[in-house]
Amino acid sequence: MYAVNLEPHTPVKKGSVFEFPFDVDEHYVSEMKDRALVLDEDPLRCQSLPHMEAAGWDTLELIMESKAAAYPEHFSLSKDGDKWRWINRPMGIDDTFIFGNTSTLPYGPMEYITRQAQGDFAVLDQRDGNLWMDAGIVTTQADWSLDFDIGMNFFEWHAPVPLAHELGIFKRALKFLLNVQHGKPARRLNWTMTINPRLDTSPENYHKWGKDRLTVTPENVGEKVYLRVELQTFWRLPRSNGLLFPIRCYLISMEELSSIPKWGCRLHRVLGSLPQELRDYKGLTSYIDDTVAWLSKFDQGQETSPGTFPD
Amino acid sequence: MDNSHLAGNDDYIEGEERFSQIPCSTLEPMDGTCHIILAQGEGALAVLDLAKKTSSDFWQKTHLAYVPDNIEPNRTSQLQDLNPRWFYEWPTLDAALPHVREIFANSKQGSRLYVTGTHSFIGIIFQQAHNAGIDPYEALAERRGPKTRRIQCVHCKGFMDNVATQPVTCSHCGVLLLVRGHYSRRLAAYQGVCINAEDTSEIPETKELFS
Ligand code: HEM
Repeated sequence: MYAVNLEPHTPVKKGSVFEFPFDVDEHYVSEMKDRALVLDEDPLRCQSLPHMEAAGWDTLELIMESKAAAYPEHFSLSKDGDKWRWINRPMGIDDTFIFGNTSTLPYGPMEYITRQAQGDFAVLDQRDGNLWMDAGIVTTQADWSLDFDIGMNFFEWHAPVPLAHELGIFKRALKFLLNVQHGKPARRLNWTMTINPRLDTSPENYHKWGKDRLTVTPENVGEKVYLRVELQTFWRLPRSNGLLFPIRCYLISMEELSSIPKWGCRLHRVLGSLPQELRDYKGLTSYIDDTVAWLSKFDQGQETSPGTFPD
Repeated sequence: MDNSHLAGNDDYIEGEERFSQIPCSTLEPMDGTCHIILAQGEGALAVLDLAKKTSSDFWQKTHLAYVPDNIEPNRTSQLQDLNPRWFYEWPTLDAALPHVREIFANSKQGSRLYVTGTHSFIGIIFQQAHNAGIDPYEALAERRGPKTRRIQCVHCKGFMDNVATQPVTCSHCGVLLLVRGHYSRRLAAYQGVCINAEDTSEIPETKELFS
């Protein structure tokens, strides 16, 4: 069941996805190529309403500074007044531009930097005691459309989520987000499932990937069915007072997941007790029973250790 | 897959607070320096009901626009009898839009907006009001007439108006669409998404859900 699962985004455990503010992993270059392909096909996946330019520069600064500090062997940033030089070695980029001057970049500032950052990004404007999804780049999403949701507020874009509104979750979550302070980011995890390691499970292309769900059989669950975990972080942006919301997606097959016995056991219990509304909402209905049956061999009623890390 | 929970219901927009992207209720007189009333089709009746609750000086500072949209009976003379300071009649929404934009562009602070008619009509007028920077809290809407929906196909991005059935075939790309309850004020449309993507040979029964 849903909860207001929010905590400070502070480093945890060397080598984990929580080690650095923005995790860069071995899929970096291929995910950036995938993003470029999706954008070529559908430019509406990246949009920014006119008043979001300042938040775009905030985003660029935050990501460049974080990555250059966390991964100096891959990224460097040097500043000479407003003249910035950004080097991204894995992608072969070496650009000099004037900070704050969009005509010195090949794209708008948000698009420029998020074409070089794994995960989707929503950039929220904060006004009238609410958050407004006024910019974003969304190419690896769990079945929601930026083009449809852009301009909506926190309650509007969350409208399709079942049960959580009634539990008061979104009211409490919004209150928390409105108070996120600069320099004190927060995070939460969200999950769903995907057939095959496909990043772009967009509604735009649902009529192309939806049929994959019927390819699951009791025999192929291990390789076909993936757990999709989103690491969502929340960053106050200093100049615009906007909020940056990166959604980093990690996919793991049932085969690989169950190589950690604790994970196989836990997922069996979570899926087995998932309310029908959430099965439908997450799109699991046609293959969840096969998946629960497949996972049952990892659950002998044993106790599991606290936390998410392997034993 | 059972998608019925995504389809929403008639109350989706008009009832529950959380979904009330366009809060439809009943037209009531508001305090304001100027009133802009836009009525389409059967919305004329909502204006006549409103008039039962207004004082006569209300109409001295009122723009009343009627968009009959070929809906019988025509209520022009009844509306004129309310003696609004300004009365307009525009045959259809398309014909009305340039005039509406002009009225919104010239509207002053303290103006109040009243919109009534089909949900599509209300949605489009609110979209125009938003573009003109009119605060939605200074507006009221009342739906009258059929509950048909304006939708956007999420796949090809084409719009369809007056959708009465669930599912509906996209008139642009041909995909069979589930009309969701998810509504965008910016687009003035509900979202249409493929209803049988898992198995396109499965054709759900078509029902008149929004009439
Ligand atoms: C401002 C940052 C946030 C953005 C931009 C955002 C965006 C979204 C979007 C677009 C969806 C998909 C809705 C759909 O089906 O169309 C979603 C789902 C959801 N969101 Fe958020 N969200 C944010 C913050 C939060 C927070 C803080 C919570 C805390 C409880 C939360 C809880 C959820 C839940 C429970 C779902 C359903 C996910 C599932 O079951 O797969 N969101 N969010």
